[in-house]
Amino acid sequence: MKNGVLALVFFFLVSVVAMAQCGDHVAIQQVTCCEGGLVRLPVCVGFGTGCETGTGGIISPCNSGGVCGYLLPGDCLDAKATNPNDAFAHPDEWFARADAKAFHDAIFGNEPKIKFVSCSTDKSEFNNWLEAKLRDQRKRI
Amino acid sequence: MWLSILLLLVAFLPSNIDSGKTQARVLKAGHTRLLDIPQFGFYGTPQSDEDGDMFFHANTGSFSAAVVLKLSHSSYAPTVYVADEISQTHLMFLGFSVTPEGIVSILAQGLDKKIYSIKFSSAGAVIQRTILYIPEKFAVNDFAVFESGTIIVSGFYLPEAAPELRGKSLITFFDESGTIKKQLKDDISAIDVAKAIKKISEGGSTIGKDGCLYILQGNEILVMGQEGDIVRRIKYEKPEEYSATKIAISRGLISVWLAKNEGDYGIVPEYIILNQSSGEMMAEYVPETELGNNAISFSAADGFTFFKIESGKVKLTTAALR
Repeated sequence: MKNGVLALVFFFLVSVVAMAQCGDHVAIQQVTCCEGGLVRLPVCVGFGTGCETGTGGIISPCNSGGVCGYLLPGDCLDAKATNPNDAFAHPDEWFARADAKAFHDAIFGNEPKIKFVSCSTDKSEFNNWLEAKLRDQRKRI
Repeated sequence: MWLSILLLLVAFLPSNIDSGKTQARVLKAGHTRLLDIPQFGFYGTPQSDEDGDMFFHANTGSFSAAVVLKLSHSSYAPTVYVADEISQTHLMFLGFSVTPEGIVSILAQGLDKKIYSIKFSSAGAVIQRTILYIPEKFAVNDFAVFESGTIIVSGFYLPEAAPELRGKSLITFFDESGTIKKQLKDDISAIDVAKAIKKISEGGSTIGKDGCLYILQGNEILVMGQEGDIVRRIKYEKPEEYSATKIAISRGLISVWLAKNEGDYGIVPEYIILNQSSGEMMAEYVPETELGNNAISFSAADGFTFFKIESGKVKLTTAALR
């Protein structure tokens, strides 16, 4: 019975990894970091198999804090922070995923691995500001 | 003796003269304004309306989040445009458009895989949703909506598309109800799709005061009427390693944003100015270091405006044309 449950869990995990593809396709986008500089990053575009699994990681070459998005397979809807100061999954966890590594290698080839930067504690300041403005705006409409 | 002098002269000629490329002028930092807006990031290049209001695809944590932020040009007062759920299906951002009058539309894909063009009132309320037919395995690199309601989507077929379609470009004109009015396939060049997907995404468009759509297509600007007729083509020189990422028009001047890769993630910008009526190249610009690499808007009167963050707030710096 116990072995059966373990096999089921293993099957589920393998399925999630296999499903964790990017959206419809990947595009190299210009992204403005939270310190205002412009960098280039691959992002998932559109809806594709696996986006709804919420298994994504986020990577940022930005120097300072803030949620500077670099979206990878699976990071489409429900990616969750695993650390209060990190936006999304830990990089080691991310690169343990076979499909993520293949994706990275296809895009970056032999270039060095991307740096991961934890978000600062004030990562939500802009989002809070935006939400407050949206609430005020909707009261007026 | 003369031969030696000649060889020395040739050896010390600047490389840009060797290649026939004109010397880029350096933009210098001018007037600076620190806004009372928390630092934020955004995707792609912002757009502007004819008043100079700025519109950003704000980074709220995901490229897919369909959130556009407008900052008024005078007071920097914000308006937020959010493509909410439709029938409880999430919407994933594909692109956005701003008319010269400041009307915002967002192009988004639902989990039902349908593509929606969502039009907003100037106050930020959704006023219209239109379903568009866009082929599968297709990358959208431009989306524009005319005041009349005509919707334009352009892009190219991805490597996963059928072999006969891969790399083919397509521009589709829809009416306000989503019915296809015209498609252009053969009048526009196919692209090297293997190279294109590894470069910074190209594309951009703007609607001129002449009522035409100016749309970037590689080394040319297609000038198109609302019915999909090609009015003219403006050709310009662009080194292959650069992507053309944004176009803006102000008082008879066209500015085109170019970007090339630097290092692992860096971007080196260059901006070219063309005469709108003749198409003649008038100048090339590069920013001085102090300005950063992130020009967000252009006007003939003020030049380029650059975006930076200082002390946790948004800082805008103008750089006049020289």
